[in-house]
Amino acid sequence: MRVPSSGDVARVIVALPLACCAIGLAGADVGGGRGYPATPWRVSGPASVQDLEEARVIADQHQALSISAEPAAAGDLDSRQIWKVSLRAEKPLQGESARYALVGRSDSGTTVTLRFSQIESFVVTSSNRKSITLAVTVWPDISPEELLRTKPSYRQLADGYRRTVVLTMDLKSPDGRPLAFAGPGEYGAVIPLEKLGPGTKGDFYAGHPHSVDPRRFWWAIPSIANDKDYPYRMIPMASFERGPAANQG
Amino acid sequence: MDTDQIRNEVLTRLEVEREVREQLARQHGEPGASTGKSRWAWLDSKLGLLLIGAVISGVLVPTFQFTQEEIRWHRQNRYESLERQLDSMRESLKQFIAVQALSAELYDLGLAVLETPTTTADPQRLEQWRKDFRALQARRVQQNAAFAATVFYFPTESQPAIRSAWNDLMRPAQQLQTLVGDLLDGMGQGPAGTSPAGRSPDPNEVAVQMDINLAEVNQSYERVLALLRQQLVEVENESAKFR
Repeated sequence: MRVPSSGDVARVIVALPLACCAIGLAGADVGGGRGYPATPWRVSGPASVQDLEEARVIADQHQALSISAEPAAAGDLDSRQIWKVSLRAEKPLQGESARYALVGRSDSGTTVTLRFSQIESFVVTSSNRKSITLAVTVWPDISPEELLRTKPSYRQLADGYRRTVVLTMDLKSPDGRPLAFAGPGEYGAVIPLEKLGPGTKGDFYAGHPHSVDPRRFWWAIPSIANDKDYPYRMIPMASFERGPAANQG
Repeated sequence: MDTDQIRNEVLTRLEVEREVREQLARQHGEPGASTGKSRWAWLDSKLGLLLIGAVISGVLVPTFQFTQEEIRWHRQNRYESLERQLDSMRESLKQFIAVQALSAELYDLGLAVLETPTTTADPQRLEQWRKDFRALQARRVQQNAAFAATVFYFPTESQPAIRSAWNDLMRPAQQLQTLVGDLLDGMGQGPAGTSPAGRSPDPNEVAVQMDINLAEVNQSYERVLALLRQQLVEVENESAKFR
């Protein structure tokens, strides 16, 4: 029988920095360097607008959504992050296809469709038992034609090409089933729209820039991806730290 | 002292005794008053006090001391057990980080192959890449096993989640390995490498697919690491309670 002695204390003093080193190592990029830009145009850029349109359809289906922990209204969510997010009925029917866009009404009553690949983030401004109103930040707000014509740098794209759209969406599908942001598969993560209270923020660019699917960035043509400020890079990594903000100086 | 004084003192004492007797008689006459001797009265005796002292010093004190020592012994055992578990968990974390390092090597090898035009790849370099690839494959198997064997050191209730996340990591890592292997197989078999179907793979598609695999490896890696780190912190906190 023995109690912790000075030897034990010394062991703890030695072990703690070692453990910190191990965890610190875990927080480092294993690959190192700046990495290669995450883009679907890795070797060669798009040859035509059609190429960009096709890449954009794929990008719609590979976005990631993160829901903020605040306010408490969204506190009882099982999941806050969804890879390959879609918008569908919480309990889909057999063979029912998912949507990759927010569809709602503007203040003037016109129907607005915002594809996931053009959404940067949204904030819930109000909600009631039937509908939810979102202030959506659209970015990059640029058409494939304009992208190919102007060939902006990442900095130019990040500093501009942004607008806010307010739209009101129904909480339920026309047949009365609750709508939700959902991941792929029957058991994918699900975030019901009705749980998103006022003040809740949804971010499509919150993930670590080294853990992103390159197919998301349909707009990352060589003029953008080769910009030194382009943050999304492929590096074998092991970081807990949040990456730099996606499109802020 | 003369005779009168002595007589007076004796009378006074007798008077006091009489009053005491009368008072006692009154008390005994009151309802509810005990008529006999208390059963605990013996405790007031010298023998009683001696026995009580003997019980306290001979039984209660040793029992208390023994219980205290037993509690300390259990605490010490628990502390040492948790410290041993922590050492093993830290070792497991190291093994896991080494797994990711191998994925990084595979990715780098794939990029090197991809960025070398088939026409300029000399046979010696190609053979070296293939050797490197085979060595990486073998090391990967060993390292995966080295980590998988250490999952047992984590708290039992956390093991299913760790294994599930670990399996999620294995899938994209295996795909990355297959992709690099296919690239190497395609080298030297025709222009730009030719797939078994006879179609030359688009270098852009291959590069993007490698990046997709790497992104999935990174995501899964973070999930496993988060689980391991959470368990490590929990056991550290538990250990601190017994320090």
